[in-house]
This record gives sequence, C-alpha cells and structure tokens, in this order.
Amino acid sequence: MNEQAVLKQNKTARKPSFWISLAIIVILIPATGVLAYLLGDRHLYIASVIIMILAMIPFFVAFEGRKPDARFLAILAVMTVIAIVSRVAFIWLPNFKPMAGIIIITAVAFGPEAGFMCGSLSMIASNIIFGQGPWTPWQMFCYGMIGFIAGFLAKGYIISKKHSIRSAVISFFLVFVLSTIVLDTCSVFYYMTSVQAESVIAIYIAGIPVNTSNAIASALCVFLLLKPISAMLDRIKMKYGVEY
Amino acid sequence: MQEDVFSSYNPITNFIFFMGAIVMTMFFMHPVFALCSLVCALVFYFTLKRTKGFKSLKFSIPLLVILTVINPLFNTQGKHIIFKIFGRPYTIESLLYGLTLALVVVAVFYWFGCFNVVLTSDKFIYLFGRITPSISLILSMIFRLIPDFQRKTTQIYNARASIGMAGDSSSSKKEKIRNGAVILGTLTSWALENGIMAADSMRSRGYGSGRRTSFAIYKFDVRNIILILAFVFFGGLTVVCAAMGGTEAEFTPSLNMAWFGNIWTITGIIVYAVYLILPTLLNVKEAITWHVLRSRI
Repeated sequence: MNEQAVLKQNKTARKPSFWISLAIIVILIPATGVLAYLLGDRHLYIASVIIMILAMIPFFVAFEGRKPDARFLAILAVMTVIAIVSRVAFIWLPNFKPMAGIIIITAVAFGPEAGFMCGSLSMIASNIIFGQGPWTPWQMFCYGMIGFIAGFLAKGYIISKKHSIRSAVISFFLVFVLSTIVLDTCSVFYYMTSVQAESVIAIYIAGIPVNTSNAIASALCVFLLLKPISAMLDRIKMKYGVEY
Repeated sequence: MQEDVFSSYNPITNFIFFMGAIVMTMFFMHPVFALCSLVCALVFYFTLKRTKGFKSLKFSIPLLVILTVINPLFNTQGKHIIFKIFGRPYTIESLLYGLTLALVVVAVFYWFGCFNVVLTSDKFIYLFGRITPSISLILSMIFRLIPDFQRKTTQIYNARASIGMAGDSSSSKKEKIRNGAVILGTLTSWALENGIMAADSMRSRGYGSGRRTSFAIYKFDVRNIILILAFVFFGGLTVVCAAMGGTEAEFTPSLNMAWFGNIWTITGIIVYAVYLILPTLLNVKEAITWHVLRSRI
C-alpha cells in the first residue's frame, strides 16, 4: 500500500520536468533559431542539431523523473534490443529495416512516452554498435517521434491490434513521412552548400526509394507481428503488472 | 603493438576533444581549415585502425568527388562560369564551395570514425551514467542483451534448420521474410520472460531502494587535467582567431576569404592543427619513449 502511494506520488510530481520543458520550448529553441539566422546559411546544420537535442531533453527528463520500476525498464530494454536485432536480422536485404515497426508495436502497448524512449534508445544504442555519425541526433529524434505519434494513434484506436491492415498502412505513411521530413532534411542541411527549393526536392526524391523500402519493411513488420507481439506484451502486462 | 594512448585517458577527456574537433570542423567553412582538419583526422584514424583503415577510402573518396561536383548544380551563384548545364551556370566559386563542404563532411566522418574506436560502449555509459541513471541502466541492459540475442537467434535458426523450416538459398523473398518474422516472434516471447526474471532478480537485490551508484575504472588524474587544459588553451585560441575573422570565407556571389596574409588566419591554422594533432602526438611520444627505453636495455 505504502509502495503504491509512493509510486503514485512519483507519477504526479512532474514539476521539474515541466519547467525544464517550458524553458526549452519558450527560450532555448527560439534562441537557437535566431542564432542560426544571424550566423547564416551553413550553420543551419549545427543549429538544427542543437534544436533536435533540446527537443529530446524534456522526454528524457520526464522519463528519469518518473523513476520507472525495474520490470518496465527490463521490458523496454528487451523491446529496444528486438528493434536493434531486427536491423541486423534483415542485413541481407539492403534498406529493409523493420526497426520502426517494432517501435510502433512498443508504443501501442505502452503509450507515447515509452514509444519515444524505445525509438530514440534503439537508435543511439545501435549507433554505438554500428558507429555514431553526424546523423545520430536526427535519427534519435525521427524514430522517437515515430514511436511518440504511434502511441497517440494507438490511444485513439487508429492503430490497433484488431486492425492489422489499417495499422500497417498507417505505419507505412508514418515512417515514410517522418523519414522524409526529418532524415532527408538532415541530408539537405548537411550535404548542400545552399538550401534552395531545387536541392531540397532533389534530396527528397533521392530519398524516396530508401524511405519506401524501410517503410514497407516497417509496415510488413506491423502487419505480421502487431497481433502476436501485442498478445505477448498484454500477457506480460497482465501476469506481472508491468505498466508505465 | 602498443595501444592508442589517447584511449587510455578518461572518457570525459576523450569526449571533450571529439566534441571540440567535430564542432570546430563543422563551423569553419574555409578550405584551408577544412583540409587541415581532414589531414589530422586521417592521421589519427590511421594510427587507430592501421591497415584496416584503407577500406574507408573506398567510401570517402567517391563521397568527396560527388559532393564537390553536385553542389554547383544547385548553387548557381558566382561570377566565373565554366560551362552551362541544363541552361544553368556552373561556376568556379560554387565548385570551390562544394569542395570545401565536401572536405568538411569527410573530415567529420573521419572524426566520428575515431570517436567510435576511442569511445567504446562502456565509456559511453560512464559518460552519461551520472546525469541519466535510468537511461544508462537501460543502455547497459541493452548491451548485455545484444550478444545474448545473437546467440539465441542462432539457436532458434539452427533448431528450425534441423527440422527443415529455415529455408535455404532457393527460397523466395516472401519465404525469407516470413522465416525472419517467425524467428523474431520466438525470440520475443523468450526475451520478455527472461527480462521479467532479470528485473525480479534486480528488485530482490535492492534495485531502487536507494541512490544508484555506478562502478567505473576510469580515474581522473593530473595527466587528464593537463590534457584538458591544453585542449581548452589551443581550442580557445582557435576560437579567438575565428572570432577575429581568421576563418572568414565567402564563396558566392564572389570569392572573398581570409588568406595567409591575414595574421589571424595563420595563427588560427597553427593552433587549430596543434589542437587536432594532440592525440596523435601522445602516440608519437609514447612510441619514442618506448624505443628509448628499449634501447637502454
């Protein structure tokens, strides 16, 4: 009883993270934007990386603030590792990475925040193994956002384990759109001397095949695995009381 | 052969150096500074990787060429037109801009290549463990689980192969995907139970009952402080030179950059190079000491 009370208190006491988020959104992100504007074209990349990192801080602070229990941490670690392993398992099919699919499944089971954590953690952990690069913050943000949005879609029953096909189609668009918006924009900032309509369109078009194949992989993963893995996660949730 | 000396320093020292190197490389869009950074990165990369480093050239040289050639196609500003393509001018200024950008991009890739060798996963967790205890705990769980998973995947695959269910080279893409999905499903159900068991074991050993402590074998001693001071000194001087206009470079619409006549550019290049080459110098010093000691025997 006492333990539950403590848990409840932890969940409601979110004040520090709230103030940090507010400070970041109201002060730091606009300040970085202004700084980038003053510095000129090429510093867009640096400014955008700073914004990415700032935008992720509230999620991490909130996660630390909740003091998640060991069982949830273990399950989240397992789901993250499955996402990473799925990147390795299909290594013989280039650009076929069902990672986002696993992240979406995690988000469906545990909600938006857990989806964000699973997405960004699986990206940073797999990059520690396969090599960090200038794209790490972008990938973390992109996959984190995929999980976050999928979590909200699941709350509204737009993605649900009862409708495999609909969920798969929505996952396809979710992964495709976010990869294009976030990852390809990273390429524009990183590889181009000037940001113009032509260069942006060229990079977006060059990204279509890769994004499509990754999105198909994720959609297939959701289509085939959403039902069975959700069943396993529901069983674990019910049997052991794992919650976030 | 002796190991890299810089890797034996505290992860905080390593991290400070790489962040400084990468951020400065990205900021200085000046051909000489970019070239300087690329050369230092290559030298450090090859001292770390030795002959294995040659593989990276297959990837980095084409990238360098492609980025140089492609950028003028989109950035058509500049006075000196070489030729017209698709009715758009292809200018020298833009080509030079493209080359500088390509040098910066490749240099950053090589710095990250060194970063990945020096900052291994345990150092990474050490770095972030104190600020984010839960996240670094998850990360260390993840790194423990990955080899576990690989082993288990092989087991499941072999078990399926022995009953003729794993498919072979003749099986279609659809079959391969289906097989992969089945393995993933089996793996998941095993891993979830296993994870709960691990969590219960942690709980019964007192996880969450107090402040989490972390164990690390990295010391923060005098030589780390000296090296960090050196980084701050040379990095700081470089930033001062840059602030005084030493790294100023404008490519389009017309070339206008600080060149060797500018005192700030020369000083900037020198201190910048010293900053970037420091980790390699540590290795050189170690090698010399080693040879001197050996010749005394």
